[in-house]
Amino acid sequence: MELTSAELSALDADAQRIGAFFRLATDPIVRLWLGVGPINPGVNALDLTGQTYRGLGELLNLPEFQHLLNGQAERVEFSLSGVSDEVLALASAESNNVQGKACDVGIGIFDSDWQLLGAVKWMWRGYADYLSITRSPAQTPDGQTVQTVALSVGSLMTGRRRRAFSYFTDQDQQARSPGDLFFERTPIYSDNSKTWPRF
Amino acid sequence: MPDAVVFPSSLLRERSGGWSLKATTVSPGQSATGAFSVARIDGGGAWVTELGGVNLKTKTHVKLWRALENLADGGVEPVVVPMCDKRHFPAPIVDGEPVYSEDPIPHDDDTFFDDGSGYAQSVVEASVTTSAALRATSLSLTPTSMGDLEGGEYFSINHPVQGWRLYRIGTAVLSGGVYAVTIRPPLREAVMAGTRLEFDRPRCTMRLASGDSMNLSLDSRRFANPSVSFVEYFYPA
Repeated sequence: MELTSAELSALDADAQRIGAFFRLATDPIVRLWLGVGPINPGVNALDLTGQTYRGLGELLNLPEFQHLLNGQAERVEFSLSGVSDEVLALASAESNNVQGKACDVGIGIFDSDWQLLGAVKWMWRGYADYLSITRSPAQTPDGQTVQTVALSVGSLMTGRRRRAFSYFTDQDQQARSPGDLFFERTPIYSDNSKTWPRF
Repeated sequence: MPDAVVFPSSLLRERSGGWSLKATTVSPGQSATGAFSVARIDGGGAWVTELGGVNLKTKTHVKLWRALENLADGGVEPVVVPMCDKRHFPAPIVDGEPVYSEDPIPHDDDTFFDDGSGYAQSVVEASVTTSAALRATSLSLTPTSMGDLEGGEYFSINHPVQGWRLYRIGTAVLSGGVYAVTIRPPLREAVMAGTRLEFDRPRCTMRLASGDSMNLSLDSRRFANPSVSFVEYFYPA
């Protein structure tokens, strides 16, 4: 991630203007940001042609996240608007449309005229797991019911100690990547041993 | 973009009110050098408005309010809310006096409609000089009939997708008959050269701030002075 000198100057100031961007690689791709209204942030590492990010109310917050260091891989939850057609459609879709899909979080830095000083910097990648819908019923007859959709996202290290349900066999490899012959000969090695390296 | 309900001008009877751009900021607290830094993460803010103490004193006012509450449907339907800012809009000067409105205009045979009304016409006419992109905060505008811009004036643009959007001028510099203005919030949609700017009756596409924003409680089952709040509404892209 490279910051231009203009971006560094903007971040040095006492007051900054920052946009937080969220991208979920489902089909179609979900692109949201924490700002108001739509924005086209231009070409970046994930969007090779300019794409529009929707704003205001779609993404309610970005959770704190950290990179794995010395221990527990994290799982974070993103709260999405519970009333948007797009988000509700996502929540009610088949779980395999969401599970395992790359979820990227990045920032963009604006100048004093709210113009982006550079491309979106993608800072964290996780992998979506499941969507859950929570409803907080009204506490009083004139209160409001609050509905939120939360997307649980794990990092690459999440579940690393959990036993995988697939193996290095040709059948599993064909399921993962059809036509790939990499594990075609693994049964040959089940009854003999090879010494490697030979010096 | 579907047609949205328009807040009737006959209900613009508020005792107080205002329009503001709602900002969202985050702050890490005080730094070691004693500075309080703050970051905005809202991309320019969204409009919120409150009409306080709307005076409903006739049967028509009350029924109009109730009908509008139905059409606003608890905040899920957009409502185009006009603002009355005639004291501060750039009224053209004619014979040394500012012109705030035109008299009703008759047909070409100098007659009016059966109810005595005529055609209405805006006083201020201006248009965009050069195209501007989505989220631009600078515009060039060409005045056809307009007083001097000083900054602080409101205008609206009727965008093809996002409908009516309200903008506020920050600075205005006149050069060669064209104004270069800075605006907030950033443009909600790209605009082409020649797009008309509405200064006489600016308006914005909003929705009720909450489902019970238009609750009505009548005094003596006849009169009321309710308040209502709106927040900016966006059509799906």
